[in-house]
Amino acid sequence: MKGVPVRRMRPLLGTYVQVEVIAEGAASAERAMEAAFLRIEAVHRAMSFHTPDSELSQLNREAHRQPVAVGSDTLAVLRRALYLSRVSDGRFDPCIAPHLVRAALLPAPASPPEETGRWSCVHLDEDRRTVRFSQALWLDLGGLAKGYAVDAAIEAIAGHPVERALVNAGGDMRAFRRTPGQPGFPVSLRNPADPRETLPLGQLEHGALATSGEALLGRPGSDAGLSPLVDPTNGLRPAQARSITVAAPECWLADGLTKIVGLLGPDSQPILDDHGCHAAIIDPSGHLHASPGFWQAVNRSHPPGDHSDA
Amino acid sequence: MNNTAKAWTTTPLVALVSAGLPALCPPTVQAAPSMSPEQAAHAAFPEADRFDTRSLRLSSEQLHNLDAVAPVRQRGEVRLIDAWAGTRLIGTLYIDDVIGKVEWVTYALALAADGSVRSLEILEYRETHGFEVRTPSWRKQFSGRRVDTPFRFGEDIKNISGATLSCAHLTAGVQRLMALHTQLAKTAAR
Repeated sequence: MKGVPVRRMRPLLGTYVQVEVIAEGAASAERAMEAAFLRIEAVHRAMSFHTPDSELSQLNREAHRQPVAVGSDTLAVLRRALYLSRVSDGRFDPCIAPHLVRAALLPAPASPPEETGRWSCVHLDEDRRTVRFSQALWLDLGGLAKGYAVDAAIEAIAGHPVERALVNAGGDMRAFRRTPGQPGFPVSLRNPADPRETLPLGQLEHGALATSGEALLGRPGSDAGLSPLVDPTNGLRPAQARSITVAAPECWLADGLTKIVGLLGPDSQPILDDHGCHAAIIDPSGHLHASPGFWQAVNRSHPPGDHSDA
Repeated sequence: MNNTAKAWTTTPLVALVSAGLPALCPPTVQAAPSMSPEQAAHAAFPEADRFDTRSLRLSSEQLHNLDAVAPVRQRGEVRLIDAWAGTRLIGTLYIDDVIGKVEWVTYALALAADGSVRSLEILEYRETHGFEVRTPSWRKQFSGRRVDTPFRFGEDIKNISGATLSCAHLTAGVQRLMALHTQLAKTAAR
């Protein structure tokens, strides 16, 4: 079966979001496409750190004073964020926004809170669907919300009669295929040493891939060599890894785990194992360190020059 | 790590480029044609019965004024498609390019007659990547491998994972177009 591919790209979630849908008929592909963008736009509106009227901005202004009601998407992303904080002993922390603002990686929406809060200061009331902070803090759901939006888009697409699809939100991507045996989507990796270079990585048939890295690209006037990886305990950025890629069943997990793998390195293996995920780290000397199973996850046999870490 | 079955492996990045490429790129899908300006205009103004295409060359003074709104590399020429329903102007679709650090984007911004945004679609997106831009020092690493065979893998593939590419340049371009729209509306009203 050879379907008709339809591709669209829109600026959302602070980056370029591309959706590719392959369906037997162009009309089905278009409908799936619109459903995907509707979901991404909803997540964008709810969780933008920069828009003053987003649910997230409302939380950052008011949740330390009183419980604030949020929609199901924001609640779902927060639940996932706190889960990752728990399983990583706080290595993942959605409260590092003040560190990022100080490093000029995030524009400041207001004057930052005096103290940088911790994930444990965020309390969800699942029954009332409200969020409360035990102190003033800045929540930034950036990468996780992006991954979640990709998942939501893929789920919306799966409800339509399409064969295959790929949603790519600036490097956070997830592939869908109706039946096994259909070809995957070729994926490349941006070389952290030179963002103009891309390296062929493999093929994504289903599941997600996300990368966090040093070069934060395309923000005019900013330093491109800064890492968004921050150790929440001291606000410092680790120097060993230049970029981290994670392959996971779902995109929120892939994005969230890049931060944890970036801080723990190969010591993150038990967390990767627990979630059926695989990781690759590019170091400053131009080598890619892949966890067991990573190459299989991107459908590539080991490239030559490959050797075990002794 | 002492458990070899669970060992991480190390690969030089250079090896990623040269190894096993034919197996990696079976003829999957043709590069999908991007949305055309006309498609974008029809999608943004479904109630229109007539579209007028024109182009506008910006004076250096206009460009200077727009730089004050938001500085970004932009061409001095903007294409416009006016959407009409009978004798009533419903809105205008602007087609423009912005050039970022690694990306070159052609986009279509649809503004209703009152200046509100109807839609924003990216028509074409190109990243400067592949080996055409590589430095001689990088090329040397491939000597004897496949220097003469041009590398096509990334040709129509835009599924790039990496540090997130910000769309700030595009946002700046959109701000400029909206400012231009206001200027043009004032001129027309005079």
